[in-house]
Amino acid sequence: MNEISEIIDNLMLELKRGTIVMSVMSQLHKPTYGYSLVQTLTEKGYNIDASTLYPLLRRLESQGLLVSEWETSGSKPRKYYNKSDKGQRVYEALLLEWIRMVEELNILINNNGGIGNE
Amino acid sequence: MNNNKYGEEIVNRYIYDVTRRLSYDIREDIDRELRSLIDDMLGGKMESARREDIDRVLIELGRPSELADKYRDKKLHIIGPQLYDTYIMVLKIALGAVTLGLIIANIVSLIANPTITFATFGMLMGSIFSGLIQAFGFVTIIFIIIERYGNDFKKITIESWSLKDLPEVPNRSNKINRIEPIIGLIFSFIFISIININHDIIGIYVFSNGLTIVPIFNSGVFVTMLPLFNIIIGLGIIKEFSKLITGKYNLPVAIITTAANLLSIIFVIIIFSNSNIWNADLVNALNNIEGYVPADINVNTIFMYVRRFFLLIIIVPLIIDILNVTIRYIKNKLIT
Repeated sequence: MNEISEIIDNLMLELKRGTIVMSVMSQLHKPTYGYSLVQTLTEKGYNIDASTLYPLLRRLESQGLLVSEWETSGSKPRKYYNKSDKGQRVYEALLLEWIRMVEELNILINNNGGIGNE
Repeated sequence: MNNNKYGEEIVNRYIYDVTRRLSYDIREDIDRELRSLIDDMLGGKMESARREDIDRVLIELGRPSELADKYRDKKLHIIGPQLYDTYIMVLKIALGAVTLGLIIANIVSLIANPTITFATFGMLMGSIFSGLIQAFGFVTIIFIIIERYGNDFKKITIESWSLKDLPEVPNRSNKINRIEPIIGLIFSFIFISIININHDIIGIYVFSNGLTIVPIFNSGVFVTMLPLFNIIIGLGIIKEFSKLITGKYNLPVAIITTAANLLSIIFVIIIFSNSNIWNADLVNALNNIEGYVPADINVNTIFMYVRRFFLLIIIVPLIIDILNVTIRYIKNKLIT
């Protein structure tokens, strides 16, 4: 039993890795800083470490999908991220692809691929 | 107050340990980012946070080397899979060239400064070894640099794959053991050095009252034959080198070996058809050595047999070599 759950965990890790960019960008409809993003995602049931999220945000910024700005007006300086125009276009395209992929998978599952089918 | 100092110190240490592993241009930004993050994780109350909380947060962030790794584009290798094959190929060529080059260089320097002692060969091995290590180091360092900084260069070296590029399936009997030609080359070097610099050490060694060497060849005649000897050894070097480069028994190797050996055979016959090449004085010289007591064996007779069968001893292995190379080549032609 343990072996099976280990295999499942590994495969789910792969799956999660594939959807992490979309998940993160889905919460960036307005300028947000890193830690609040962590909290928002966790509240909504998507567990992610700050040590994973922060480097990811940097990478997305270096790809031009996000823009960042240091807010120094408050008591503590914070780095706020937001989607760039390019990022917005990419995000919307990703969503369409995602919906398409889900439909494809559903077709496969319903045609003899599901639980209880041969 | 104490808590504050501890917090400040340990956070500084942590952030330093992360950022020192990253490149200069992003260090400051990540420093600020991490401070801001740690503060947020402590609920915005870093100044008054308890020791245990600070520790907990830092441990949650994870090992500094791993965190720094996440900030980098992960590069776990020093020479990546794209460059590796090219690297190995260049390495083989470089090492082969260095070996041959050093052998030639040593020959040249020996000709300039002709003394052969046993130390000479130790030094040859030593210089080849250190030369090989240096070549290995140079090639490796260059490829590491290309891997790190030469992204455009990498694209050039990646050729598109085509079916023609598939290597032949190596056939056991087809491959030439790389060590044999190398040993052959080393012996060729030894012979060519000896005959050109001090051929009188080829002879009979008598240990009585110190060491006396009675040369087996007549020095004068030997010297006139020297060019032919050199040609013969040169042909041998060419042959061994061809075996070393190609690594298998193919047509070029067969042709070169056959040609080189046949020529060698001819030259050897020419040289030794002149019986004056042998040291006619050998037996007398032996008898003249103080304290030399002839054993039961009659040196004269031995010498006569040696002269008769000398040609055979040289020619037969050469012919065997020709046959070996040709048969292996034909066998493989038939198989594929």
